[in-house]
Amino acid sequence: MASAIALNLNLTRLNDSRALVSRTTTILERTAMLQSRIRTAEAGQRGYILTGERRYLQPYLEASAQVWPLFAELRGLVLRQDLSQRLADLERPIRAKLDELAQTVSLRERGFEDALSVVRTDVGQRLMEEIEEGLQAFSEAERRLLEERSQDEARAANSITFVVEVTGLSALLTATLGIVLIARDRSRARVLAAEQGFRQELEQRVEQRTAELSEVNRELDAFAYTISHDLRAPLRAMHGYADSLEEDFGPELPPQARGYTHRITAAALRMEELIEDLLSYSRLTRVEMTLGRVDLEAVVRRTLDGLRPALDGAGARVEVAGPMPLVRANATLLGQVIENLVTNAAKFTAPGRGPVVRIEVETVEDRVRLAVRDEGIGIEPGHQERIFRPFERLHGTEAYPGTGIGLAIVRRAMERMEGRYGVTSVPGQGSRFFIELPAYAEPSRPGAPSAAGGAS
Amino acid sequence: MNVHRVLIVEDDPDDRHMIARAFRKANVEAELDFAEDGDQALAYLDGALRGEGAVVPTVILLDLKLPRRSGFEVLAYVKADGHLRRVPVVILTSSRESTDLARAYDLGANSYLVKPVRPDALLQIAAQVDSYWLRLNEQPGHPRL
Repeated sequence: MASAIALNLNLTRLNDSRALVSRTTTILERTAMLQSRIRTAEAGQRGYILTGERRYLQPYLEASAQVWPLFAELRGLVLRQDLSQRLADLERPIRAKLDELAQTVSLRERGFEDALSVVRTDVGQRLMEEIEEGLQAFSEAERRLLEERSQDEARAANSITFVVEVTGLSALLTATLGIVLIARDRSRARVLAAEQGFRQELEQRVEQRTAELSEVNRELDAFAYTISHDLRAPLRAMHGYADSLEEDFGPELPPQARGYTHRITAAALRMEELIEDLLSYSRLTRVEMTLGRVDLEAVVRRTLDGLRPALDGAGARVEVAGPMPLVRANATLLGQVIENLVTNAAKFTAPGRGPVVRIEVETVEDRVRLAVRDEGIGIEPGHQERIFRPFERLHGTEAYPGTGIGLAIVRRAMERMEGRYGVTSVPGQGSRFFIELPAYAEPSRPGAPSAAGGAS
Repeated sequence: MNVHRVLIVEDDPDDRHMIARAFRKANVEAELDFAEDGDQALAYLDGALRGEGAVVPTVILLDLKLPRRSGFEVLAYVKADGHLRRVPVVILTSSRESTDLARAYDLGANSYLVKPVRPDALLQIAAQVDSYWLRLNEQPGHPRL
């Protein structure tokens, strides 16, 4: 009788601790599933953005639909206050991540570049890191809990072995319980392994697709290069024969015919300009480029010196403010970016007003931001994204000459330099274009202690 | 004094026409010979070396993008030949690509000019090729001259 009571007590303890262990296991499993769903949703979104193929939307839609039910289930499972709070803190980044995925997917329907511009802001990347880290920390805390509980369970089981000798029935009971629990753990392991496998496969496919797409991009650039050179030959002929016509037969031509030859040559020159811009734009992706220590102040000074005749000709006043730190960039590309921004700032002025251009630099933490302000005509909010695309123009060439490549070059150059770019503008009052680059950090000297140097 | 010969390797008939016109307008005193592709250029130069008809030119104007045998191949051939290597080769191409520039000089090009769209700029090029390569520049006597 005494042994029967002891057995009963111990079995209750065992069952309690097994229930806790099982709850923790479920939590760990659900956490892994949640993480996997978010990754799958992102993998699907990336696949869709890269390819525009709707079949990638399926994993995205399915996985993202399961995120909140899983999250709610997890919240119901977690008992401890501190862990419950950890989980609650993850709701915001997860919500933001899903919003970002939904936004880019809907932008992708409008076009590749639209969606890419959001992906390139890194917001999604940072959210993903935040979620991964949060879930990781949460799982670790749960895992520690599981270890503690398993030890409890082991202790409870030990006392059972001691009592079990008394009655065979309890032995049978314990064994059955044990087998059931082990079987459940195994099936969970299988589910987790399948999840893992699916995710890896998707990531592999996205990687492969990315590689293929970069290859296509390279081919397209090579194509742009070849075609631009081939386009020039008929252009030279157009210009050349129009000139010949005028030189050889000018006196015999009526004035209207001479007017036409002028238009032919003007069109040829304009096309030459477009081709040249197309080439320099495509060159931006093809040319090998290194990032390093760049003296921002020197680049600004050199650029302004180079632009001096044009700026003076336009009657522009240029003010430069702020100490300029060293940045991590490519000097040639940075010079081109600043030149384009300053040229634009001096160009888009209201008729009758002399251009005023202000260059300001500020450093926030380890980022350096250079802004070029003008008091020009400004840009409607609806167009502020469009202007960074190649050959986009908001005005006729008669009002403001140019091919519409300047800001596209700014954008591509900033992307290549791992920087950011943007614009704020009030129509009629002016625009403020900015670029942001990492401040240059001196590499640590050999021998100096460094984070990576410890373990060897 | 021997009259200068300029070999112009150019596949585009309009470009050939415009180059000839520019040389004429710049009053360049030289015979212009044209090769329409790389093979023709090599046949011309081989013939000149063997003394069959053609004469080794004072300077070669060479387009890079040619059908079949490219300008680079012609350049490599000329600079690998013990006799021809002394003939200055002036690249005249549409390409301003740094890779093309580097490759041309690596193969021994003596000058690299970009074909302009404007005919007046092409006239300038003809005048300067004349004043530099045909008048100012000294070069060893031509084989078989």
